[in-house]
Amino acid sequence: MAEEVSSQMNSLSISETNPSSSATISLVSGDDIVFKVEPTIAKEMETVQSFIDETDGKITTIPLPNISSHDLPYVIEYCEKSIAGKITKEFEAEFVKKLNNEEVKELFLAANYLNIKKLLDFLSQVIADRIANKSVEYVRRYFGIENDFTPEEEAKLREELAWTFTGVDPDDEDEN
Amino acid sequence: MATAEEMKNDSVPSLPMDLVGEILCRLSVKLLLQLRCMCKSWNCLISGHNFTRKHLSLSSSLRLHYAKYKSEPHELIHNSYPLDSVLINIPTKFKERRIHFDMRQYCWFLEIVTKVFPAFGFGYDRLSDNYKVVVLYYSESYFKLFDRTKVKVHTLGTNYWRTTETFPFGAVFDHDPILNGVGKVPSSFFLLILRRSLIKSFSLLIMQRSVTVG
Repeated sequence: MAEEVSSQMNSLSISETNPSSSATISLVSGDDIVFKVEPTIAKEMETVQSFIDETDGKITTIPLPNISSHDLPYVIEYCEKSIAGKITKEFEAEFVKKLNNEEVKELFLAANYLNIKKLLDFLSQVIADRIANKSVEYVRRYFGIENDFTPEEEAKLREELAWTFTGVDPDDEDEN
Repeated sequence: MATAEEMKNDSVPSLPMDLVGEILCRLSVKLLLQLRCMCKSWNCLISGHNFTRKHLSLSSSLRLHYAKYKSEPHELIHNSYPLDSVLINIPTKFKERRIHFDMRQYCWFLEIVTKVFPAFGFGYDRLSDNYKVVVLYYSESYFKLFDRTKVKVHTLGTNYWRTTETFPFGAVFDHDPILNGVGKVPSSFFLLILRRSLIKSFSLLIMQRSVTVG
């Protein structure tokens, strides 16, 4: 873990654009690991930035109890790329290739918590792509959703929607 | 303080509904309708007006939708075209499929279909934030086509058809030029709708409303 953090720190210092800028911001993950980031990166995270603004910049250590030290580096990486204007299709493809379904969901929640609109939009699309063309059962497992319909209710609904379960229009996927 | 591993195990992420909506609004209409069976809250979300609007606003492709009636057997054929192809008269990438409709809708359509050679169009009307069904038909003579083309407009959720001014351009109904790949697209038909409203995708709303219309 320590190694991962330091490598993250290295990459941060390399990409630093303004070394003379004000003090770094410390983001503290839920499992108590400190990540030092440039204020410009914190700006990408609206939740963090509003916290800093509210305290007139006096407080620079921000606890993020909902985000683990596993997920935070990904978020920081994305924000770095974002401020550098280097979010490309290639970067995004590489970025999600490393992530399994659970990780994508965790990051999605983290992006929501930190209020990073771009990351949230991007991950929404990633999840949507991963469940597109899948069965209802797959989506149910993916989201861990309990079926709370009574058997009668479900049967009625399925009857009403029966045609959507048939293969009459397999070319439907671009019909958004 | 929890370790990263513990946090991971704790959080079998169940996403809050507003976030679920963010994801679902990017899915195809067909999958969304299937997903109504998932649970009550999803059914409620997907059926809701706000979600429908959000889905529509994210919809990337502009398509025109067009329904043709066919007798023997009685059915409606749905065609959809990318908007550009209609505007520049390039007959590409159309799709054709049978439209599902239950008996109630069937009667509702038949009432219109008894006119001669009807053609249907569906469209989203931005002004009224609702969907409209437009039907063109010949009222009497087969020969004075240009004079006899009538137009009726139905607003989804209401149960009447409004007759509009006579269709000014005439239209050809006995064959579909796009399907045959010849002649001009019946673009006048679409243009009529385009002038009334900006047409967007045949989307969730109409699929859901179509069950209750009539």
